[in-house]
Parts: sequence; structure tokens; C-alpha cells
Amino acid sequence: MIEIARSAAILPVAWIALTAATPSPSPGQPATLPPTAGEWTRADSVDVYTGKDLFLLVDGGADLFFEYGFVRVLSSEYFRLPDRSATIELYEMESPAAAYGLYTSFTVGTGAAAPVAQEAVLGDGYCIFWKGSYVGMLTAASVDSASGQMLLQLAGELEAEIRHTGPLPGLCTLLREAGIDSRTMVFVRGKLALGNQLPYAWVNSLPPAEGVLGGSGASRYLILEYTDAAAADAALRTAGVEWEKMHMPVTLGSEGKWTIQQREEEVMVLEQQGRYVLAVSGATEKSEALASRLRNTLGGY
Amino acid sequence: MVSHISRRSFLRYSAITGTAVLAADTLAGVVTRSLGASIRTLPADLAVVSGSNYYDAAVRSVELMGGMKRFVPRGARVGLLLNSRYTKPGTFVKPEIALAVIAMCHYAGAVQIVSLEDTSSRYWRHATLSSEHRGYLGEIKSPRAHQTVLISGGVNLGRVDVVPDLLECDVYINIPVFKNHEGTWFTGALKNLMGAISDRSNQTFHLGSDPRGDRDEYAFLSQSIADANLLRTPTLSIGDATEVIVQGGPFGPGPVRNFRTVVASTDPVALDAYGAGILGFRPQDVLMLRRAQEHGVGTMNLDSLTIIRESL
Repeated sequence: MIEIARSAAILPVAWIALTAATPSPSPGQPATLPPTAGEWTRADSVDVYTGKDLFLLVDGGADLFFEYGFVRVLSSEYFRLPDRSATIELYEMESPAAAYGLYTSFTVGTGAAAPVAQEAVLGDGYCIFWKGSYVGMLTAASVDSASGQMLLQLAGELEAEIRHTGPLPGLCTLLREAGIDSRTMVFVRGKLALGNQLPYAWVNSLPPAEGVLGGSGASRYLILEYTDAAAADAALRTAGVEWEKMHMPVTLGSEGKWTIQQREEEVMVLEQQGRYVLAVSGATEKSEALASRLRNTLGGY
Repeated sequence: MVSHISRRSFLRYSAITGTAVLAADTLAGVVTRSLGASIRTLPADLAVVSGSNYYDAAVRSVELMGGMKRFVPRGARVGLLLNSRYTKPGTFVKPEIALAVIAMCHYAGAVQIVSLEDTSSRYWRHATLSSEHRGYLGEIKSPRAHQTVLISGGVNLGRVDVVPDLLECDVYINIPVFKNHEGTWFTGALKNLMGAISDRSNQTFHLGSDPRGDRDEYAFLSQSIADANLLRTPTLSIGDATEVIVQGGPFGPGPVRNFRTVVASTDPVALDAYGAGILGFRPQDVLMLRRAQEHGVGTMNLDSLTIIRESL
């Protein structure tokens, strides 16, 4: 961790130390958090964590950031008279897709959409936004009827420092264009994000891959994208062997579909579709309609 | 929520539960009648108390376990492992719960309380402190520097750097907050042990001493936590399931839900299994719990336990 001191006396030394020890931000991207942001004034120092030092800030939560592709984080506190304060972490990720994945992992199913950056969510006492390769997380020290608007104002000031936007991951774009509800989507890149959203032991047997988890309630779906059809087929076969070895409540149907009982009242049906593994929960007409729609969407991709 | 805490509050509960405590202290394991209500077996294996006064809920949960005197003999040195590292809502144990435990230890006759992970003074600002509690906090000792110790029977870990007080204290009390954890899906008492272990060792829980690109972080971390819990089983664990973060943990920010519940047990695996259920996880799906059970640290088979639930 490196602390960027703002004191005039030690600024030059600190600045040299910072530039020597941390990766430079991409051109046009913020090197630090601004000293002022509208009516907000930043604390004297900004903490910078890169690489494995992220453990010092978020402890075991760091694994998820690494899974997505973490570069560095700027962390500080902002104050606004007479008595408001908020902490901010601005995470720089390796790509817009990595940042979007992290953003969705933190925000899916929570808060309300907010008109900040490329996407943002406002919850009780916090605001999280995505823009380009960055994810901003703001937390108010106290929560009341005014704190939400104040967080949005601060978030707006900070996101303006980020010059570049970035594209959605291709699979997310495809699903959105097909009219699939984007508010429930999580872009995953490995087992941690997937396990956090779908906390069942069977999930761990699937080889890691990028994908999208979405839907809600009894109508959830998971799409994992492998390099080609052979890899997707192998992924499902490998997982199947694991499930049987672990005596999981699974059955393999005649069409090569695996049915997993994940709760008493809830099943998940997995199948291969080209280079994808597609899983849809439920065995109802509604879930079959969802599966059919997803098959059609993936078939054209 | 911040509630006013006082000696009177503690004594009031001691008086209300006096009969049950006496019965528990003298007739442990014998079926007795508590509070003139239902037939119960005291002490419980696992006590679950819900209520909006977290201090009282913590006191009551310990009473249902047989009272603090069952665990803290007069003159004992108590090691307290309190999850207090973070400051965002839902990420730390409510100070009222910690204060209740500290007060109970004093009343039971503890001569010294050692914090097994340094707690910043900023943490206590979340609570309204009585002068008596300020006195207690002032007496809490900081942990000594980490020392390397061997772990017998560990799968991933052969040694860790841990505060020696964890192993040397007479009584080890673990106070976790049940919350979402992006690395292990769920965190409670088992994971909280990492608070007494050095950051350097903790990083090997995640990365291993010889990191490879294809490591399964979830499985490796889960096994490492189970291994570390071979060091010492808590004498008593008291879990906070009041205002907890259910997504974006352990650091936050994220949505906070209030389950208004405090859980106590001598079995950290059972405690976590119950806590995981509160957050919507099936215990058998949380690998860390399975691995700890395999090590004999405790059981996640809650059906085999005497569980007493109360609402205040």
C-alpha cells in the first residue's frame, strides 16, 4: 500500500515514490482522486493498493477482484460541510469487461439504477458505478433521506475524471439485444463470482469460464462460454464425472442433458449448445420457454 | 442500531435468568424448567436469540449456553477474537454484542482480557459506552507479535504465524459476524480465526506458498481455513446475525439485512452452519464447513444438537 500525501512539504517525495512503485494509469485515466469534487473535499491522503496488496484493504474479498483482473485501487475519504463524509474506492480493472463483471457481481439484485457513469446502482448508504475499466464504490458514513442524493453528486464528480467508456462483454450485449433482462445479469469469469451467485456445490465442478448468470427466483439461467464446442462438451462431461463421484442428486437424460436437484423444490437442467454450456432452472413451461429463447439467441452467435 | 448499555441492563438479565443459570451451572445437561415456560435441556449446544436489543440478545444467548461462568473460571485469562476490522455497515460485529461479552467475562471473574486482533478506537464509536464499559475497554490488552506455530494434521498448511495469546489464554472466545464473503461465500467463526493470524500467513491461505495459475482459490482457501482451525477450538463462539452485509462482503459496500439474531455455541462448525442458514446457504454447500467437519473441528449436522431458540 502506498499513501499519497498531499502535504506540500512531502508531496514531491511521495509523488516520486508513487510513480516508481505503481503501474501508471492508462492515458487519460485518473492518477489519483481529485482533492475536491464539487462541494466535497478529499482527505489529505489517498491510499493506493496494487496487486496482492489488495488483501490489506479488503482481506479475503481480494480473491474475487483477482479473478476478474485487478490492477489497482485508489481509496480515500471525502467530507462535505457541515457533517457529511463518505469513503470512496476507485478500482481500476484490466479491461472494461473485467470492471463490468466486478460491478455486476456487487450490484445485481440490489439498490436502484442511477443515472451516473455507464451504469450505477444506489443502495441504502452506498453507490456503485461502472465506467470503462473502473468501478467506483462510495459509502456514506451516515444514512438518511439526503445521503443518497449526496452520494450521487459525489459519484458524478468522480466519474467525470474517467475519460473513457468501454464496451459490454460480447455475451452480455448479445443477451441484451435479444431482450433478456439486463438487471439480473452477472458477468462471471470464474468460480468465485459464480459460486457467490449460485451457491451450490455442483457449480464447483464446472471448469472455469466466462459467462453470464441471470434471471431470478425459479427462473435462473447460466451460460458459460468455452473456446469451442469440444471444450464445452468436455466441460460438461468432466463435471458429470465429478457429480457422480460426489454422489450428487444428478441424472443424465437421453438427450445429454444433466438434471441437478439443487434444492428440494428446484432443479437445474444443463446442456451443451455449441461452445456454450447452458443451464436453466426449473422444469416448467416457463423455464422451457426461457431455455428455448436462450438456445435461439446463442445459436446465432 | 446503537443501544444504551449499562450494568443495570446486564444485572436485569442476570436476575431474570437467574434460575436457569443456576440450574445450568449445577445441573448441566439435565432437563430443567427455564423461565417457567417450556421444558428444556440446559445448557444448549446452540442458542439462538432474536431481538432488537443486541446487548440483551448476546447476554441471553450465553445464559442459554449455561452462563459465562461455565466457560470463564474465576481468575481466567480470556482471549477475545472480535471481527471489528472494517467500518462499512454490516461488515463488523455490533459493539453492543462485544461489550456484553466483555462485561460477562468480568462478572464471571476474568482477570485479563486479551484482544486477539487489535481493535481500533474508531470501532467503539459505533456504541454508546457507559463509564463502566470504558473502564473495561481500557483494561483490554493488545496481542503480542505473531509467532510461527506448527499445525498438526493440516492438508494445505503445516505452519502459520499466529498471535501466541490465542494458544496461551485460558479461555478463547470467538465473536464473528455472519456475512457474505466473496471468497468463501459465507464467513463466520471459522473464517474469523484469520484475524489472529498474520497478513503474510493469510495470503498463503489464498495464494499458497507456491502459487500456480490453475489453483482453485475457493477450494484452497476453504481447506486452509479448516486447517487453521486445528490450532484451537474456541471455548465459546457468539455470532452476530443482526445487521449484516449479504452481498459485496467482506469489505462492502453492499446491501445490509437485519436478522436481529445472536447465536452462541461451543461448536464453531455448528455455529457457522446455523449462521450460513440464516444467510440462505445450505451448510453442506459451504466447502469450508465440510472441510472443518472432516477435521473433527465440529459438526454441521444441526439435527444432532440441542438448539434453543428465544425471542426477546
